Amino acid sequence: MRIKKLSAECFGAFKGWESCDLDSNIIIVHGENESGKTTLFKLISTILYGWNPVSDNPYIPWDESYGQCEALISLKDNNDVKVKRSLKSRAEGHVLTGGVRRSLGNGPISCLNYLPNEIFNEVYMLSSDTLRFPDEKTWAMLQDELLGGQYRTMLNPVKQVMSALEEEAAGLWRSDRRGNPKDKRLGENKREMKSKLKEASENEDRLYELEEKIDTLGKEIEALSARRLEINSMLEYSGELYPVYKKKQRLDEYMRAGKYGSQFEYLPDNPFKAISNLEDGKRSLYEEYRSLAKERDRLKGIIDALTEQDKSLLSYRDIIENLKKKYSQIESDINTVSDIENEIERLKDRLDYRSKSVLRGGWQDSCYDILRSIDEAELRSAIDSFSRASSKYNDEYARLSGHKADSRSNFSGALWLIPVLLLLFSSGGLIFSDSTSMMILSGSMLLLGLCFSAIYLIYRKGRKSVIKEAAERVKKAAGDRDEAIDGVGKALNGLPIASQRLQNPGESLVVDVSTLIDLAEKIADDVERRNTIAKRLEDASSTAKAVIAGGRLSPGFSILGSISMLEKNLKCTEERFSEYTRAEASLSEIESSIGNTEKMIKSIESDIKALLSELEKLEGECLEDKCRLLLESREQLKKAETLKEEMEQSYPDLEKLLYRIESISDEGRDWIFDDEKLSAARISKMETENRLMELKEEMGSCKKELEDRLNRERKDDIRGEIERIEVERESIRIKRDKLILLKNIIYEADRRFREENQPGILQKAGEYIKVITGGRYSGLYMDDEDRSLQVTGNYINDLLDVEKRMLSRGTKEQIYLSLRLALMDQLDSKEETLPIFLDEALVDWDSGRFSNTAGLLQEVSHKRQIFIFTCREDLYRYVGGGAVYMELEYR
Amino acid sequence: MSFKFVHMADLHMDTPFLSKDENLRKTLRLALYESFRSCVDLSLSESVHAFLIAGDLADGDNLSFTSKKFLLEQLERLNHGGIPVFYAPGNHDPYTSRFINELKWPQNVHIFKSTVPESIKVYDSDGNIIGVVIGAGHESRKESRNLSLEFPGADGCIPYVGLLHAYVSGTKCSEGDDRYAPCSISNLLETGYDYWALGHIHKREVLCDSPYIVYPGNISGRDPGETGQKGVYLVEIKHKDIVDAKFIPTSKVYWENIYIDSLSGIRGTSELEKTICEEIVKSIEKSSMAGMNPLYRVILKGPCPLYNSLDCDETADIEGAVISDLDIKHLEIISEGLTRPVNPGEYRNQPHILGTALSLLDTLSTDDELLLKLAPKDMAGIGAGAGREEKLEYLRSLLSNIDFETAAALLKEDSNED
Repeated sequence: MRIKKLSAECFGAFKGWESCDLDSNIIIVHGENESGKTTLFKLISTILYGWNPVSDNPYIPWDESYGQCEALISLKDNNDVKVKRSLKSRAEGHVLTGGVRRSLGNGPISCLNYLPNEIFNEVYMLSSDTLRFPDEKTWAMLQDELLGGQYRTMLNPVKQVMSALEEEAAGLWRSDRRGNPKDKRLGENKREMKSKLKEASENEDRLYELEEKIDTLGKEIEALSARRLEINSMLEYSGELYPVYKKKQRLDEYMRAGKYGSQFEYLPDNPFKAISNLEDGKRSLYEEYRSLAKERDRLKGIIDALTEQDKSLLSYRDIIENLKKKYSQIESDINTVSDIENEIERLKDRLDYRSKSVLRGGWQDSCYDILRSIDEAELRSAIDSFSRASSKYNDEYARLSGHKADSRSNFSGALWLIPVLLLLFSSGGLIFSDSTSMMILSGSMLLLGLCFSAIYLIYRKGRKSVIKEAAERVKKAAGDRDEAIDGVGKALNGLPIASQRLQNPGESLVVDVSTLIDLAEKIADDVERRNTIAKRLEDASSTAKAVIAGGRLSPGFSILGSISMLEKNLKCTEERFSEYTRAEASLSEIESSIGNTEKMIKSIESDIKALLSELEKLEGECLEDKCRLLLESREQLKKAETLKEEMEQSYPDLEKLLYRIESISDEGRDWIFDDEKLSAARISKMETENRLMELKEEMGSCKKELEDRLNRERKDDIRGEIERIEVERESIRIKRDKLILLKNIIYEADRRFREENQPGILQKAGEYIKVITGGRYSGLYMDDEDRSLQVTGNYINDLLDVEKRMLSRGTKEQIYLSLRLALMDQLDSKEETLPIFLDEALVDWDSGRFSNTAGLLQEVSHKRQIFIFTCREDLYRYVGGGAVYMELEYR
Repeated sequence: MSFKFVHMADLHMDTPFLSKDENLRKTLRLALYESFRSCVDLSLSESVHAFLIAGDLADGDNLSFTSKKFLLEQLERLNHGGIPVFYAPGNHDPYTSRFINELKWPQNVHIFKSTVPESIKVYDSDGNIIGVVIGAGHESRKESRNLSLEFPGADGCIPYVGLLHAYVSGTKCSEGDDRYAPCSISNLLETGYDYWALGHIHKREVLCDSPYIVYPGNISGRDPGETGQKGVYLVEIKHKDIVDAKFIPTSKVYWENIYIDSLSGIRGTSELEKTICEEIVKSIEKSSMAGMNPLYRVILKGPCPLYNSLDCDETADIEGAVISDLDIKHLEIISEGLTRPVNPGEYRNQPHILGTALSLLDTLSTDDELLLKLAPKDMAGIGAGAGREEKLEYLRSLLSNIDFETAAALLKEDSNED
């Protein structure tokens, strides 16, 4: 590749800039500092690889919004291509080859596709700053690039692969005890399983123990069950026969004791009690006899108590009953008479009081008839006439008084002052005035005063005539009123009315008269009613008096007291008569009973005597002893009979049972009727049952445990798990070994690949450094372990570490230049030979080595174009042969 | 009069089942019990004259409490049915085993407690001899002698039946099995017996049909390696040379392995689940074991885009979904065989690290020194005291498929894949 022309429409400080013709192997770009050498350096990089960075690219001029540059490049096939780069809203690039335009986007030109920009910058674009050992990342890329790096898109980095394999292997198994690889975890699982296996083994042993125990327990339970069965059958036998046996024993005892009593069956059940009962009966009969005699005497007394007076009173029974019925009426009448008399007194008081305000001299009995003759309507009419006449009189009188008052009023009285004053002023004016006008005015006033005087006199005369007419009408009205008063007196028919009431009669007079009439009539009615009731009371009193006399009784204080007394006496008499009747009926019955009782007493006395004579035959010293012995014997006999009945009822097959009891006794097995032995057998049974229960519980517990243990983890299951773990561990270990082997293989392959490819580069670099240093240094070597470059030379025995040894900066730069020249030979050996760019790279070198380097560059320039950016003018002297010199002006 | 008997072997009671799934372990254990119960049922229903057990009745020295109970209960049933039991102990249950000597065996059980063969006559209900059973037992768990050599020759016209737990060499079925009590077919044929009732090989096999030399296989598949129907042989020797041997399945459970290796087009778990379902359905349709409970193991192999995304949970989810969809009893998916869909051959001899690594692998297959040099410093899968050859053998085993793994490790995920 050869760059033939460069131009920049807009790139950093370059605007509309165009290089000279660069069609040469060495281009020396000379310029002072800040003349744009570095910008041109970057421009070429942009042409080859595109804009980097795209955003905020520092080579977009500050006063522009875009960048654009282009180059004409000649390729190894002698074809020229034009490459154009622009950056506006986006980075664009295209290449023009033989009239064909092809877009590059922002990617490298096609012949640089194999070489990353970082490596190009590191190897081909050299300045005093970049002539050093590449940083680790770039070195790794460079290595990869050199060692098959063209496959990096396909292959994983070897270190990464080895690290991953190692990590994966360590996750499976580790020879040390660190970490927690899978094999270790499985080992722990296995240990757990072994522990479980031990438990399962113990479980198995326990299962056999349990089985044996269950077997032993089963046998013991069987033996005890048989023993319990035997005891049960014996106890059952005893339980059936023993009660019968006991009862039979008791029955025999009763029969023996009851034999004496059976000889005196004819005697009462309890002879002693029988005699006592008879004596009690006799005493009771005597008591009854005495009671009957007493009753008989009482009845006779009642019969004798009914007197003649009682019989007489009983004859008036109906009259007394009638009076008794009227009692309430009589009592009411007495109260009514009293009330009426009180009312009459009250009415009379009111009449007297009223009369005093109406009648002259108060009430007189003669007034009663006059009042009854007065026509109330006529009286009311007369009073109305009076009212009208009186009213008319009052009106006329009032009118007269009005006229008189008017004539005496101030105004009327003062009217005369007006003409007087007018006359006085006018006179004065006429006299004392000297002016005509005043004279005229006084004259006018005089005339006016005269006129007013005439009017006043006419008015006085008219007022006197009116008062006179009014006085005449008052007089006539007074006459009419007196006439009406006379009419009222006539309507009262001569009733002596008080004169002041008659002078001014009104409606109140009508009311008063009416009230007097009403009171007088009420008094008359009450007197009549009182007399009627008094008559009725008198009749009843007469009847009562007659009965009292007939019954020879003392009269009462009043009629009501007499009736009450009669009623009380009649009631007593009737009670005595009733008792008398009952006593007469009972007396015959009582007398019959007394006879019977006497007979019964005699019979009992006979029975007692006979029984005592029989009891004398019994054993015993006294009667009580005799009876006691007999009764005791009889009691035993009775018990024997009861027991026998009970046994026959309880045991239908009593005969058979008794026979079996006899047989058992005969067989000598009658121990079952021995309480002590039976008790021992029961205890034995209880013990057997308790033991059986214990054994069964134990058996149940064992079976439960057995069941539980049968469900536990099995040994074979656990063994299977352990074996599985072992298989898995083995597989893991094999896998781990395989991974490590694989890692080792890859490592070895990598080493071999490096060995095969790397030495050529270092050899070439050695040749370059030998030329540059004039043979002082002649060989370069790489230490893969610590990634360092070592140098050797004619006067050096050992390899020198370039970085660690105290080599001068210039020497180091020369070594690294040599390395880069060798690298680029290797990198593009099969591709386009790329230009090399040296930016002030050789500034610190001594003239000898500088000259050697210039010679070397001349030689290199035969196969690759060299751009040397420098501010040194003498450089052209060293390398100038055939070189193009391009001067950059200060920008 | 014919001689009718049941021939079973390799019950392996109390086998430790290697599964994380507790339910599966229980299913397998119960299946084993049920299968033995079916053997006894068959014997009773067929009124056989003898019940032959050709060793490995138990898996270990002793039996669990439950298994002992069960075994005695079943043997008692045979005793009750008047069927004698002939039991020749094998390498798992040599006659020195604890349970053989401690168990109170029912009267009808005869155990061959010697490596020297013993002949027992078998009678019918009328007391006539109808056959002779000649058996021998293993003395230890590693019986290496050829016990068949001591078996006496057949005599007369009575049917002779040999009962032995033995490894018959030179047969296809016994490849890979332990060589206990080894013998050859000719050893057995030389005896002139009418039927050889063998045990030891768990895969059913008739080594010879005239006379019959039979491995009935075990009576219930214990792990995915023991596939197919499991049961016993019902044998009837009607006359010398007329032997009718019929296999009778007794286990309701059987293992079925399904290999799926065309998974390069699978892009998601639901697609994988569908594929697995389809393969199982095909298997069910092909199967002649209707009414039984298959236990499936699906082995995924080969390139698959899901090769590194199927973790335990993901696999368990697929298993659960398929079990639910197809109503099957068990499914186990093995996804370890899946590889990244790459072709290492494409990268050989290329100028990059992978090319160099693949070339190195080729070298390793022949360069033992280099292989030992690259071996892990501390190897987890082999003891520290292992010898050179042992180490080399182990390392070579690690090289299997390592080219795929090398490519998978070095290649980026989005690089060209098949």
